Amino acid sequence: MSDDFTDLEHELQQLRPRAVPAPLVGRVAKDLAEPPRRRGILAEWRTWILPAAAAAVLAVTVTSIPFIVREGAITQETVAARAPSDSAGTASPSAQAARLHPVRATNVLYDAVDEGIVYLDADTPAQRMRLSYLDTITWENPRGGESLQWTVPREEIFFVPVTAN
Amino acid sequence: MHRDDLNDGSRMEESSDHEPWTQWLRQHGPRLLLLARQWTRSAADAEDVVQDAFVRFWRHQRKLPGSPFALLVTSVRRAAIDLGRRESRRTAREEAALAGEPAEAWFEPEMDGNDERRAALEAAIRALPEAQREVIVMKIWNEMTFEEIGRALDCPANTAASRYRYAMAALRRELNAPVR
Repeated sequence: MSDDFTDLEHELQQLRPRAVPAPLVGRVAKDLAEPPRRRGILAEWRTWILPAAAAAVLAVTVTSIPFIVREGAITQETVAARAPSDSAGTASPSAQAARLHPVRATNVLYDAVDEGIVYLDADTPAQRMRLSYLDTITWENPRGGESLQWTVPREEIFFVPVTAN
Repeated sequence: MHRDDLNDGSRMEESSDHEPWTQWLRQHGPRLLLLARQWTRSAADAEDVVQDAFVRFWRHQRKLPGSPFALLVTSVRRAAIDLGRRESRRTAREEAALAGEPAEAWFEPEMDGNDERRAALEAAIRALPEAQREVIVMKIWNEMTFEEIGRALDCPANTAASRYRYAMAALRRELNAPVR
């Protein structure tokens, strides 16, 4: 089949999309007549409070891991000191867990959305960007080879000041 | 005003300062509405999307650097996606009522009495998959290049061009098919 669509293109171009209905013009007029909503950054709390809370929990968890692991390791050392004949294979579950060490933390940016203009204060427009990540933390037992992987979604919202020419 | 005028920032600023927004909306609104209609479930939704995008554009974005038309197309698409997310919570009853509404024509009736052909063309376009329809609408009525279409749809220009060729071939096949 020929790929020359000139005639069909010409015929399609003759079709005129429907006109803008008068009520729509009226609604736009009403919107433009109203002063723009000046939404401050604090008014946007609903959009950032959950991601911020999730990020905070994640940060606390990640920074706590070395302490948790260290605590477990001390316990294991203590147990080993008290019972030298106790082999690694019969260690308690907490001691097993303590052998996992965080070895890798990665984040993958999988979506970036430009959410349009907002006002940081009365006269400061800014472009609001929302970035979505997947954070993955991996623990491994350097001796036994067991590993544990934890993946959580995370969002970041930031504002880029806009200047008009 | 031709679409090229929109891509010329200086000319657009000059014209918008001297022309009311109503004239601009009446001239370019029809193809934006047609575009919005590809991403929404009803004519009313398409109007809401264009209203939202146009007001934002006129207030905040028309003096930004770059192509105002591309910005507006992106804005319309984003507003349609946002609306789609909100509307996904519609009840089954509302959906059924919407499905029962008569489909509103996308194009003006032909004055030369050849409205049957217009109806056939429109029906063939409506029958295309959305990914092909949106490219056809952007290319034919919004006069966008494949590069611009690719940027707007987050796909390579070659993909946009392929979809366009598939769509045109499907339209020709449908329009040349014997009447069932």
